[in-house]
Amino acid sequence: MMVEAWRGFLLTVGHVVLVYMTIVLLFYTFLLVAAFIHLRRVHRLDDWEPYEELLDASYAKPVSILVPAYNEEAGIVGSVRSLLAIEYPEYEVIVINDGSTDRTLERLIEHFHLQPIYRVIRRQLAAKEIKAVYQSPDYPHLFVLDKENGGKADALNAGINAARYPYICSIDGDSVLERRAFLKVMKPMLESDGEVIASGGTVRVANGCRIERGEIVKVGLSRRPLVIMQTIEYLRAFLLGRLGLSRHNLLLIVSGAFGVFSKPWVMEAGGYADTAGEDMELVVRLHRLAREKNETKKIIYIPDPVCWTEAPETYGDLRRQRRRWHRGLLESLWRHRSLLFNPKYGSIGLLSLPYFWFIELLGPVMELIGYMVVVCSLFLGNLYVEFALLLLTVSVLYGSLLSAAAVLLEEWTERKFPNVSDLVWLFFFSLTETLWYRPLTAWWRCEGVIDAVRRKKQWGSIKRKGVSA
Amino acid sequence: MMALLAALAATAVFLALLVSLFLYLVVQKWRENRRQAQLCALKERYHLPLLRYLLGEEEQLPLPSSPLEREAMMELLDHFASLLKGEQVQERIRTLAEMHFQGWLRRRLSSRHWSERMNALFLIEDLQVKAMLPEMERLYRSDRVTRGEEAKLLAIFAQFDYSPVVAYVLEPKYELTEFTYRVIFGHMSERLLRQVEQRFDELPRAGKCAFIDMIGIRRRGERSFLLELLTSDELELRVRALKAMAEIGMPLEAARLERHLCSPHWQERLMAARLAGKCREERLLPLLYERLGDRSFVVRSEAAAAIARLPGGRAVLRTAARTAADRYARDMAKQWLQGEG
Repeated sequence: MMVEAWRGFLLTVGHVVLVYMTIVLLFYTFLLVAAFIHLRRVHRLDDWEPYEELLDASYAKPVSILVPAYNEEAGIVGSVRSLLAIEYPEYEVIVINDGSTDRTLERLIEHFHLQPIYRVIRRQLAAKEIKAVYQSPDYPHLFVLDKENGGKADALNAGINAARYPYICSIDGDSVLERRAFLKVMKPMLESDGEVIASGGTVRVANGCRIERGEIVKVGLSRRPLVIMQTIEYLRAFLLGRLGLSRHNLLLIVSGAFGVFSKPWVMEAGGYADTAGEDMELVVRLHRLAREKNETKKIIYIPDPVCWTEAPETYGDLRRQRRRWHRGLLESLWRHRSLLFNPKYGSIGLLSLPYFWFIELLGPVMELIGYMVVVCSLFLGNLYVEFALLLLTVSVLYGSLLSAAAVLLEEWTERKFPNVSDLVWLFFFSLTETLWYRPLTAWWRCEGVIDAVRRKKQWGSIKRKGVSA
Repeated sequence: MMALLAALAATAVFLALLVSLFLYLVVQKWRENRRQAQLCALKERYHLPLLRYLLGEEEQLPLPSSPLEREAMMELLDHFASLLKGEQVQERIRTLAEMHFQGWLRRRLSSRHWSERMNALFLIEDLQVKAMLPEMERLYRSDRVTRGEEAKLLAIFAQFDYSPVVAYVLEPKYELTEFTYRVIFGHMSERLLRQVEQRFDELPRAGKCAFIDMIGIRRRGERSFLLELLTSDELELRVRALKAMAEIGMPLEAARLERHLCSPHWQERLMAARLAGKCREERLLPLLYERLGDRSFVVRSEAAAAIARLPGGRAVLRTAARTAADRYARDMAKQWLQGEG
């Protein structure tokens, strides 16, 4: 009797997972088609001409680039150097040393010959005390704030307080930006006369690329399976997920690694909040603010501008990162739970938030249950084996094949990887995704949910080798 | 069982599709890499002869005979167009483009792919192929022209000093943004700009703002026009006019400036302070001193910057840093005394 009840329960759970996965699969297929149509439309467009005009300072608006740094001594100099070399008419770089316990500040002082200066800083957003402000005599548009440790959001808020320009951009201290990325990411903001209030570019994995003096010299692919899988995951997340959502102004994430925001709007929204996913949290608040003020404002994603970031190479680091990301997602969604299915917030309440709750947040939980059902079913006789195979087939479609499609979409449209062998590796590994990578990351992300429920807090930072050094 | 079969079939079909696409893309990538290598070699071969021809050192040029050679030549020509200045060189580039690439450009301009039409427009603009004006006019009038193409076409019309562009900007097909207006006005000759100025009132708000900004950017001496705008009821137009005057360094009497410096709107006070800094009149110092304690941070900062620029200004800042009743004013004066800004 007990065994029968258990079997019945297992089958019911399995069916729920199956229906869930099929719906998500159909949704992703829709996003894939939408992304394909958009990318094909622009695919042969000259990749420089549309932006040439923006080099004229009278057309472009100045940007304050904020680089929060906490124990980034390995890569900070390279990152800042790459920012000082970007092509944009007017900008300032503000590095915020968030009470690092390593030699981050010393390395900056030594390398850029920083001098302490007196600068009036408005405390419009709450942030921990700033101990000193430095400026580089060699690069007058480089400033470093040395402040007490308060976390990434606190550091960014301090940076916003010190920023002089109407647009702010947050960049992680471990990333390298393509020289023209700014011109590209700013273009829609400038052209729309302020209708676009935030815009994010693509983030890609730098491991495997050749980087010299803070600049990507040759795009390459790491041969470590864990890094290859992350490369595929980034392609899928950005090209499939964000492009489709951005087209309908449904985007709730502008990557924390590279995003530009209108400063007055960020100020009004209250700046960054102290959550694990401060980037998403801000974007949700911006959408919310725009809806509450009844203004048509857009938050968009642009596939072309690329920011290269170092991906974790060990299981331990990757686990920490994913736990943190998922915890951040849950924290943001929970903070804004009143928006869910709330018609007052239009498509954000009725489409975006349900998507993030039921697909992004719940996805790994359902996936994990699916894997467990498959394993259990294999021990329960023929009928269950058949069901297990069905579930496995759907998860292959959901995981491996959609990722393979994302890889091919990248190759068909963007072509960032120059070697044929890179394409072969990416395609081969994408097909193995369901067998090892997805169960692993699904488990880690479930751990993130548990962390959020237990209100566990930590920086969750990974060990840096310094890709840009 | 049926569901499993259906799922397996779907997976097999999807996988077959992906594998075929993968094989196709691998072959394509290999061919494209080879083509790029050939293109590079051709560009290398044409580089020097073309450069010499454009600089007038060579009369003859080996002409392209294959599509790949033509592509190599066109890319080089585009490269040189952005690199080499001088009327004679530009004229040679234009003549060469008109002689060899007109047919190619015409075909691209009538392509059904948006990106190809846009690329053709970029080339026409870079190489200054004025002979393509009728085709561009046709594209502009066609129903399929998109917002992006409209903006680019109008900018090229402006560069080519094509008179109908004035009527087009007054009544565009798609609503133009302020940014697009600025780009178009930025390319216009004085002759065309004067025509726009005469019909200023017909411009939409975005066009008006962009036009005023352009007066400042291009340092046009439109004093009476700007002075008239300062009396406008629209705050935005007054602010833009003050900004343009500050850009040009066009002085304004203290009495008039005071009115703007005491405006209830911070944007107007900000621009008035900026203009005051350009006027270099000591009489403005007391007015600006008052603004050091303004309730808006940006106005305080701009006032301090203006004071620092005026004769005797640094002494005023020193006094403010020591004795101003307002803490913000003292801080701001201190910052500017240090020469930071």
